[in-house]
Amino acid sequence: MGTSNAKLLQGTLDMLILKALMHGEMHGYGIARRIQQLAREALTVEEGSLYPALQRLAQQGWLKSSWGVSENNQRARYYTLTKNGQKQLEVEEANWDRLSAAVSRVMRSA
Amino acid sequence: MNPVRVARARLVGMLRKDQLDEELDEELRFHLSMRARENLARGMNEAEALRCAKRQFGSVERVKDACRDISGGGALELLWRDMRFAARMLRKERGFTAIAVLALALGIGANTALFTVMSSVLLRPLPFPEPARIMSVLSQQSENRQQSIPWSFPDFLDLQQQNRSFEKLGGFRPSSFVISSNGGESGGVQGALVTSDVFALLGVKAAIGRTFTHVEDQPGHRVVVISDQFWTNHFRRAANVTDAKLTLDGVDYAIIGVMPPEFRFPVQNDPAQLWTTFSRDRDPFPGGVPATTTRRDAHFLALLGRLRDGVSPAAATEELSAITHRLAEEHPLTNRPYDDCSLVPWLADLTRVVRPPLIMLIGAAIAVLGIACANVANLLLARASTRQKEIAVRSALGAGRTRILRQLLTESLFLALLGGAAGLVLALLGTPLIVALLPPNFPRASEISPDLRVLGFTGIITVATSCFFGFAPAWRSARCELAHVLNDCSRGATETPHGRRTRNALVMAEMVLAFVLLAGAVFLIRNLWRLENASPGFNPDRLTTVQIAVADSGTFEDVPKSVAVYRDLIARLQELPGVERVSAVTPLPASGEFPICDYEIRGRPMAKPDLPRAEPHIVTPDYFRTMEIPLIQGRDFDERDQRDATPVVIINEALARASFPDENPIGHYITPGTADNGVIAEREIIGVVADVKCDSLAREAKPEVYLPHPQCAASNLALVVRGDLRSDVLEGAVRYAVSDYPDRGVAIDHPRTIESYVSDAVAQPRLNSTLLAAFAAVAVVITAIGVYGVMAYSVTQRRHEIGIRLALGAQKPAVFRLVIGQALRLVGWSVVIGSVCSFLGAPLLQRFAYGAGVEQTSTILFVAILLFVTGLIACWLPAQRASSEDPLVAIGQR
Repeated sequence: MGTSNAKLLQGTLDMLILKALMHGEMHGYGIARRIQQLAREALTVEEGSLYPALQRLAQQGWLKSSWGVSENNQRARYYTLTKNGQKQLEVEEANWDRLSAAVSRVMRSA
Repeated sequence: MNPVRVARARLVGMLRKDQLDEELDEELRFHLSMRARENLARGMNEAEALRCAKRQFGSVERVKDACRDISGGGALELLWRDMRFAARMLRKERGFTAIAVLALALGIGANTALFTVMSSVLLRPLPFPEPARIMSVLSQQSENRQQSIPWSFPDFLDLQQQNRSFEKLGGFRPSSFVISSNGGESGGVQGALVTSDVFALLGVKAAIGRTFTHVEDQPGHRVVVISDQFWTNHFRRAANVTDAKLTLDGVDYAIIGVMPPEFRFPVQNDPAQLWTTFSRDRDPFPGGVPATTTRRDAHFLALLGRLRDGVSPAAATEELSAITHRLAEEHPLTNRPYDDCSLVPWLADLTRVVRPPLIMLIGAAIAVLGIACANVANLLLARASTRQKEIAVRSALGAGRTRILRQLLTESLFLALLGGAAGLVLALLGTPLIVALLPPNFPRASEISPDLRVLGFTGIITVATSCFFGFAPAWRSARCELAHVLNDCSRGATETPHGRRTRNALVMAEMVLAFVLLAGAVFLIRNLWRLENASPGFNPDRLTTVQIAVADSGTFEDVPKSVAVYRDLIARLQELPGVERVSAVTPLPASGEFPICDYEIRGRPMAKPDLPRAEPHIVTPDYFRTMEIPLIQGRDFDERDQRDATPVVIINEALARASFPDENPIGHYITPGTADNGVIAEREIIGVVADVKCDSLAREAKPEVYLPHPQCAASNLALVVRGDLRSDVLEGAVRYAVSDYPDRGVAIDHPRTIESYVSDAVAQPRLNSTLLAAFAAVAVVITAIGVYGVMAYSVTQRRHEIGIRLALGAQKPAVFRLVIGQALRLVGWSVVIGSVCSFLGAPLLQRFAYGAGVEQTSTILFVAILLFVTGLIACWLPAQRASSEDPLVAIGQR
C-alpha cells in the first residue's frame, strides 16, 4: 500500500506510463506495480485512471498493444512503447524538468 | 496529437464496439485477479482477497465508461444513436410523421424546383470562355433609359473603330433563310447574320474548317458557316462539306466551316443553324437604292462586346457614351434622340424580363415553406407535452439539458431530412412540368436541369428548416421542471399562457401567409382570365396561317412577280372546299414581330426625329374581310390600287386619334418611311379600320398603317385562311400550288392557327398564375390542417374544464359557442391582418398584372371570406366533440 497519494495530473500520468514502458512490454497491472516500485512506494497510481490513460496513449500512437500470455498463464493485454512514443517521452521529460525547476525556484525564493 | 489518427481510431472503435467492450472486460478482470492473488499472498482468504481488490480498484463501471468515452465514436456515435432513436419514435407515430413530412416535402420541393430554374437560367454562366466580360451594348435615349433599340450599321462601324475599351465588338441579327437545292426541296431555316469578329468575340473556333475573316465582311462575299446539326441533317456528316455549296435565298454560298455540336448563338430557343456575314446586305438594291447597311436610320443590329482586360464596365460605358453623343451631334437627323449608350452583362440582358416573375415565385415558395415550418413546429409543440414524462425521467437519470436538447434537435433534423429527401424527389419530378409550362421565348429554357448547386441548396434549406421548426419546441421541452412533471397532477402543466400564445401566434402567422398567397393567386388568375378574353381586334376563330417566303422577290424588278405569285396562290386556295377567305399579311398580328416606321403628314412639316411613329403592315386585298376587322371609314383596297396607280394607305383608329383627332383623315396624305423596301412615297389615306392588338394583348393599340401589296415589295407574307381547314390539308395544298414555281424557292413554314399565337402571348401570365395558384392551394391546405390541429389540441387540454362546466349545468350549445368563439377570434384576427398585408403588398403585384387596381378590394374580400369559412370548418369538428362529451368522462380523465 502506498504511503502518500499524490493526485497526479493527466499529463504527468501519461509521462510516467511511457517511462515505465521504456524497458520493455508490460500489461496494465504490471505498469501500475512498476510505477509504484520506481517511486519507492511513495506513489500509488489510481487504478481507475490508468486504463483510460492507456487507451488514450494507444490512440495517439505512442503505445502499441497486443494480447499475450502472462506469467501465470492468463491472457493479458501487453503494451509496448513505439518510436513516436519514445520521442514523446523525451519531449515530456524535458518539459517536466523545465516546469519543476521553475516551480522550485519560485517556492525557494519566498 | 494527430486529429486524423484519433478520428480514425474512434471510427474503428465505433464499428467494433462489442469486441472492444469484451476485450476491456477481460483486461480489467485480469487486473483484478492479479491484485487478488497478491492479497492472497499477504494472508487474506479468497473471498476477502477479491473483495479487497475490488475495493481498491474502485468502480469498474466508471473505468469502463471512461475508456469508452475515449475509444468510442464520440460525438458521431451519439449522433448515430440519436438518429436511430428518432427513427424509432417517428415510426411509432405514423400519422404525425406523415403529415409533417408531407408538409415539409411540399415546401422544400417547391423551393428546390424553382431554384433549379433560377440556377440554370440566371446563375449558370453562358457556355463561352470568360462569359462575364461579354457585354450587351444598348442604344438608348439619355432621358429615357427604359427602352433600347437596335443599332444601325454605320453607327456600329464608328463604334468599332473609335472605341478603346473592347477587345472585340461584334454585331448580329437573327434571320431566316430559304434553302433551295437542285433536287427542288426547299425549306426555311433559322440563321443569323454576324460580323466577322463575333466568333472570336465568343471565343469559339470552328470544329471543321474556319470562321469568317475581316475581308468577308465586305460586299461581294458569299460564305456561310453551318451548325453541327445542319451538317448532320443535310450533309450526313460528310467530311468534304467545306467543298460544298449551299443555295440561300436563290444565291450560292460557299460553306467554309462547321461549328462544334454544343455551340448555340444567338442564345434563343429556336437555334440558328447557319451564319453568314453582312456582305449580302451591303450590296445596293437594284435601281441605285442604297443598301440598308449604309443608312443610319435603319436599326437592326444587336451589339456584343468583349471587354479588354483591365477595363471596367463603368469606364467602357463612359467612353461609348461619349462616342454616341458625338455621333448624335454629327448626324442629328438620324441619331437623335437615341444618343446614349449603356452596357449590360450579356446574361443579365437576356434574362432581364424573366427575373421579376422568378423572384416573385420564389418568394411565394418561401412563404409556403414558412407555413409548413410553422405547422410542423405547432405539431411538435403539441407532441412535446405528451413526452414530458419521458424527458423528465431522462433528466432524473442524469442527462444534462444540452444532451436532451441535442437529442430533440436530432429528431427534428431527422424529420427535416425525410422531408428534404421527399422534397427533392418532388422537385425532380416537378421541374419538367414547370418547363412544359414555360412560354416559348423563355430564355435558356432548354438548359434547365438540376446541378450540384441545386443539391447544395436543398441541403441547406433542409438544415435551416429543421432549425426553424425544431428549436423552439426542443428548448421548451428541455426546460421542464422535474418535480412538477413527475407528479401525477400535471394535467395543466403544459397549458401555460406562454405556450398557448406561442401556438396561437404560429397559427396566425400561417393564416396570414396563406391569405397573402391566396390573394396574390386570385389576383393573377383574374388578370389572366381578363387577358385571355381580351378582344384582339379581329376574329381569331378558325383562322389558320402559313408563313411563306418567296425567295429573291425583295427586289423591284421582281415585285410584279411576287405579286403574281401571291395572287395566284390566294386564288387557288380560295377554291379549296371549306375555305371562306384567303389573304396575306406581313407581319402577322400577335406573332411577336415589331416593325416600326415613322410617317410624315402633308402640310405638317416636322423635323425627322420628331415624326410620329406607327407600325407598318403590308397586306393583300381582302385582308380586312378575312380577318373580320371592321372598316370604320372610307374604303378597302381593291383592283384600283395596282403598282402604277396612286399610292394609297389605310390607317387604324389609333393613328386617326393620334394625328387627326378632330377631323376626317380620309383624303389626307402621309408618307410612311419604311427602310426595308426602299419605296417611300406620299400616300393618300383612303380608309380607317378598327384597332388590332398586334404585340401584347394587354397594352394600348398602336397606330398602324396598312400598305397594299401590289404597291409595296414584300417577300415573306403570311397567308391567312379563314375556314374549317385542317392544317395538314392546307400545307399540302400550298405545297402543291407552290410546286409550280420551280425557278425560285418558295419556302413554307408549318401552318399555325392564330389561336396558338394568341395563346403564346398569354403564356407567361399563365405560368405565373398557375404556379402561384398551386402554391396558394398547398398553403391553404397546410394551414387548414394546422388550424384543425391546434384547435383539437387546445380542446383536449381543456377537457377537464369543459367537463366541469357541463356538469355544472352549462348547455351544449353554450359550450360549443365558447370553443368556436375562441377559434373564430383567432381566425378573425388573422384575416384582418392578412387583408392589411395584402393591401400593402398589392402594388408589388401590379407589374405582373394588366389592369386597374379596382379589383384589389373585391379580390381581398373574396379571399377573406374564403379563409374565414375554411377556418370555421376546421374548428367545427373539435368544437362539436368538445360540447358533446360526457362530462363525467371528461372530468375523470386527466
